[in-house]
Amino acid sequence: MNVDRNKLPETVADLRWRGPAVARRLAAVRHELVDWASRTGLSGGDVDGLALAGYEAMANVVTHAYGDQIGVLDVQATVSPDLDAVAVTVTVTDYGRWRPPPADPGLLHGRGLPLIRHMAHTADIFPTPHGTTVHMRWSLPHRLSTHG
Amino acid sequence: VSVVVEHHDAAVVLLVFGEIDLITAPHLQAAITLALNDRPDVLVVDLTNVGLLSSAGLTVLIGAHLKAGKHTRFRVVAAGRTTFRPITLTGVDDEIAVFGTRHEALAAG
Repeated sequence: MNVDRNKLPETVADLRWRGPAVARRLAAVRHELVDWASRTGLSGGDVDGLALAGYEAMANVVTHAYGDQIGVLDVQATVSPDLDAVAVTVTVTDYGRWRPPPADPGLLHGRGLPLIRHMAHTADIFPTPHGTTVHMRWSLPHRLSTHG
Repeated sequence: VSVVVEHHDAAVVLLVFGEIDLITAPHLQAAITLALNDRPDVLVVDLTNVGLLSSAGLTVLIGAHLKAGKHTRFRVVAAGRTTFRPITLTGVDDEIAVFGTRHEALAAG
């Protein structure tokens, strides 16, 4: 994996953040995500989308995962060459349990997950008894050259 | 987030600067509530200078629209991709009148 990554015109190191799932920490992490995403070659629109989707995923953890407790929030962002594209992925993980959403959230709520699904090229949510992982992915045109 | 209040004839404009996230959304909500208490004919929330509109911000906008009721015509100015995309992708513009510029929002009568 590292060997492949060294062939990229610009190597972008992974971004990893672990900290308490509290709202006041999220703006700083989002700004780190923006700086990081700006170096990957994503379009400005996708960088904005990544920032928003990443924020919403983190906000879900803060709001839903741990009830009244403060738990751990893990954020990881990676660029990795894929078969026919370069994949930019952001993974947001918690170790709590999301409250089940109401059947009808009403006008006021329930827009976080739709934003994630719209902003990411693909988004998957993996709930387990031990926590939830939100996996968001953006694709870049392939930058690897066989002649380079 | 910071909010500048402008008074036009029968309209009040809230010029919003910054990012609307979990922490700052209550500040915007407070500014909107304060403005609505005076029951202006028109309240315009101008998001032209907002770099992030999270779902917490969308909730504030919908809440303001509901609170405005029949007394005040509630309008939002959002043109940039950081604000217009979240508003349209979640269908908030089905509920709220959204304009590209403050001039259009004020001229809509």
